[in-house]
Amino acid sequence: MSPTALAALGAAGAASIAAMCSIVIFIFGQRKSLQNDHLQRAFEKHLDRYEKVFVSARSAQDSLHNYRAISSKVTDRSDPFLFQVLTIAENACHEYCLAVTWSHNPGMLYLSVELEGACLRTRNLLLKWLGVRRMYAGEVAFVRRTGDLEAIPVQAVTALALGDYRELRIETRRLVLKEDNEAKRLEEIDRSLSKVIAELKKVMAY
Amino acid sequence: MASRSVVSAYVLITVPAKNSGDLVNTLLEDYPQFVREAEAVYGEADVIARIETTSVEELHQLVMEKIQKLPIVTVTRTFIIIPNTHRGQAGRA
Repeated sequence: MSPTALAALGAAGAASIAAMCSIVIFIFGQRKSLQNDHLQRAFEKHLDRYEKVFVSARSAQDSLHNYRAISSKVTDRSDPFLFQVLTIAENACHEYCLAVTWSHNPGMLYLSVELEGACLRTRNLLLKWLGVRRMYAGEVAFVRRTGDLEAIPVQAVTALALGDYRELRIETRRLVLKEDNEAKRLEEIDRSLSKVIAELKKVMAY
Repeated sequence: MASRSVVSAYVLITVPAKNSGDLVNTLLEDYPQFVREAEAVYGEADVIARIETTSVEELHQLVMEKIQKLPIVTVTRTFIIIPNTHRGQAGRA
C-alpha cells in the first residue's frame, strides 16, 4: 500500500474517531443540558420551599443569638422577657425542623447530597436542643439568716430547724433553667446554621 | 399541767389583686387547727396569718404543702415568733 493511501486511511480513521467523539460529546452535552433543564424546572417549582428553608434557618439563628444574649445577661431566671425570647427561639427552631423534613418539603430531593446532609445535621442538633427541658414551674425557697436572702433547695425546707433562719421565703415561679453545656451546644448549632445559610445562598443565586 | 409545745409564726402571703379576702376565708375555714388569725392588709404583703403548730416541721409542712400550694398564692414569707417574748413582756407590765 502506497504511503498516500496509508495517509488517506489514517486521515479517514482520525476523522471517524473525531466524529465519534463529537457524537459522544454531543450526546453527553444533550443529556447534561436536559438534566440542567430538569433541575432548573424542579428548582423553580420548589423555589418557595427553598426560600422557606433559608428564612427559617436565618430566623432560627437570629432568635438563638437573642436567646443566648439575654440568657447570659439576666440575673433573674424568671424574667418574662427571657421566657419570651426562649419561646421565639423554640418556635423558629421548630419551623426549621419542619422546613427541611421530607414530608413537609419534597424540594429537598433536588438539593445536593452535601447540602441536604448539612440541613439534616443542623436539624438533628436543633432537635437535641429542643429536647432539653428548660422551663420549670414550681417552688423556689430562700432563707434570710443574716443579711441577704440565700437560695436553698426546696427539699431542704422541711429539714430546717428552729433558729436556722430569720425569714423563710417560698415563691411559686416559672424559671428558665440553664443547661450546663448550652454555650457549646449553641456554638455548634450556630456554625451548622451558618453553613446551611451560606450554601442555600449559593443555590438561590443559581 | 404541762402546756403543749407550740411553734408560732407570722406568715406574710402575697396573692394577686382582689384575692386577699378569698385567701383569708380559705385559711380560716380549711386550716382552723393551725390558723389563729388571718387578716388582709395594705402594704408589702396581702395577707398576714398567725399560725400555730406543734413543731417546726409541721409549720414547714403546712407552709410548703398547703398554703404555698393554694393556686392563688405566689409568695409566702415565714417569721417564727420567738417563744415567750410576748408573755414575758405582758407579765412584766
